[in-house]
Amino acid sequence: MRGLAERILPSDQSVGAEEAGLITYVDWVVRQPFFAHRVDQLIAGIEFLDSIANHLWQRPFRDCSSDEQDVAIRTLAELASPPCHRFLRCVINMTLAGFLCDPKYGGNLNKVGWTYIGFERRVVQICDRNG
Amino acid sequence: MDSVDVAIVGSGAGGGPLAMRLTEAGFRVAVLEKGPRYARSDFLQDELLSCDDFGLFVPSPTEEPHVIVRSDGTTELSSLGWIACCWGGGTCHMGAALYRFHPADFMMRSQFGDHYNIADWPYRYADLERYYAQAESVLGVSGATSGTPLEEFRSKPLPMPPLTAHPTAAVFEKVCSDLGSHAFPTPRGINSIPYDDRPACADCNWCSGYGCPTGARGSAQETVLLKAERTGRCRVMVGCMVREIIVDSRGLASGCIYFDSDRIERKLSAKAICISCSAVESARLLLLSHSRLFPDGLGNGSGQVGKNLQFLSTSSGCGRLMGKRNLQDLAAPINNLGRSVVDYYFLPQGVSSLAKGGLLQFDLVRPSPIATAQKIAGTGSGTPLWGDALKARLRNYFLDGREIGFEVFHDFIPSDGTYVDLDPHVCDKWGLPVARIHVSLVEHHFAAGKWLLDRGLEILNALGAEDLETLSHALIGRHLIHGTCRAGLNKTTSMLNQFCQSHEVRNLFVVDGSFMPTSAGVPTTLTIVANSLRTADYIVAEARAGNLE
Repeated sequence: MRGLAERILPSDQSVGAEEAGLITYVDWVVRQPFFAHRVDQLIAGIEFLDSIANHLWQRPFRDCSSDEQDVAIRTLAELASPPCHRFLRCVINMTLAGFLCDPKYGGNLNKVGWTYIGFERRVVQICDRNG
Repeated sequence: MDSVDVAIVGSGAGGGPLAMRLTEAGFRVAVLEKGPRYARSDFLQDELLSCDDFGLFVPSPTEEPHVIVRSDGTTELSSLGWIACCWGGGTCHMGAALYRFHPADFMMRSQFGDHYNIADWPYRYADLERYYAQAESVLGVSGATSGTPLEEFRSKPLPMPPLTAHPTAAVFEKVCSDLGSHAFPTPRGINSIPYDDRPACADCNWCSGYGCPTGARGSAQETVLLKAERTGRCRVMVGCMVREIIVDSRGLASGCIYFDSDRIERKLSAKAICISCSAVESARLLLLSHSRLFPDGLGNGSGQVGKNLQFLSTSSGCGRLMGKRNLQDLAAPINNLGRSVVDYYFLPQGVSSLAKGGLLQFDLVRPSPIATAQKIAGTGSGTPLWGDALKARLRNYFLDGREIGFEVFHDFIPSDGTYVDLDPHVCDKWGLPVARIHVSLVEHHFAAGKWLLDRGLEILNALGAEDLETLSHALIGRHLIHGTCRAGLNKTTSMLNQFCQSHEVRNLFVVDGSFMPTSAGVPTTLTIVANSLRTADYIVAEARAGNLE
């Protein structure tokens, strides 16, 4: 998952998944009850990426170089397979959520995601009242 | 035994106003809500935890699914059909665009003739007008004092002026007027000035789809439910999931069986029962409440419960405004544009076999990073962007110009192909059969949706927006649900009478969107609230006359 997130938002001249602490976020989110129905899909997708990598380079996805990982993801994306596309969309959504979420969930570390897109949170005064 | 005068199941736009009116009239009321009660401070300005997907409002499809059956035969477990399970219901996260209906919306069949299952309402705009005014006053609606061009007449101006609008709104109005249409401020259940002991809107980053942390939005828990509680006669029963309405030997509703917040099964007796769980779940509860006297579900002798389910049909488009031409003020730190166009409420000949159009609702897209980033990555459908291409697009998008979007709303046509029944196999975490939702969209959705989208894009083009894009076409608007307990004068073709009272069980009422024979071309929340107030007046009068016993 770490390798995958880092290919979706690569760290090059600018910040990416790694600087944003994506993996901390992923660790948290996959344990949340609301994510439960996606876990199987995620595991199946990663296994499929591994099988692509194994087929091409005889090693799992995580041990591949960045370029090889890109090729594996592109191979998956170009398959006319709805489950593959659903998996890819799910992983991209998750990566973007981790990049741009409230930093308290582990992602968007030091607000690097928000800084990258020039977003500033407008804080409002909250005053609870009782019935 | 535990007992009240009236038990209301569900605390949203239907149940909330009823609770207020009945408690103010002296009745002892219990409001049973399956979800939790949130405080303003629970509505964190946190995109992740406040959006639907993350479970603040809608139960997980693994625990409490709906089974969706599409016309191509595919099925899936989904949260479609839930709006919000919490104190205040869907009004907690509503966009709060609170329009009145057009008088023609009450008489679709007389106006347009046969088209699938469209029907006239059992009452008219004039019967609802004063309740619309009451609803606008109690929720607090801001907008043009004259309301909207949809209305035949109004007895009272809107209680608040429009929300402060971005400078582009003036340019937008001019552009529309040049095209021969009339843009007006969208009526919003959001305070433009301090009102009813609640502050004016702070114009924050997150609005529709999120809980309001300041109370500026007139959600049920900030308005009608609060007023109900202050009478001292409203019992708040959150975390209580009603599984069955029970009947006595005379065939009258006598109470309900529910699971409390500790999941213990309990019984509450009541002299009258009002169901307001939103259209899918209200139908499910009635179907689950079968008995010797009502073998096909409570009040379902006509077989109408679950039939004629309607969402709202929505399409959407957007464009980019760049800081040039007549839009020098683009960077103004205001998120609200809030303009509506209803000049296309009726379609010209040849567009569709039904000449009914709808609403175009324009606004600047609020900068909510995650949702926007996911959208521009193209994760809605097809092959999405990733890698360097995604990063470049993110940066260009967020740092340059502003996005203006519009939503098209029009009638969801009731037909035999869209309905709710109980799934024969799938049960929820309570062990109860879940609702099975059959969806079939008729041609009108596509024809009307496309034509209205083109009008919206035309306006954006005239405004000088670039990168015009259709985001969705003839989709199901998941937050507005109607039908399933149709109201009408004929007992064989409807489940409820003109006061949302069961034809068969005189102390049983359904007061959410379920009663609507047709769903109109604008969001329906204000109409649900107004109808609930009208029903409440009827219940008070009938109960005092002893007619519900």
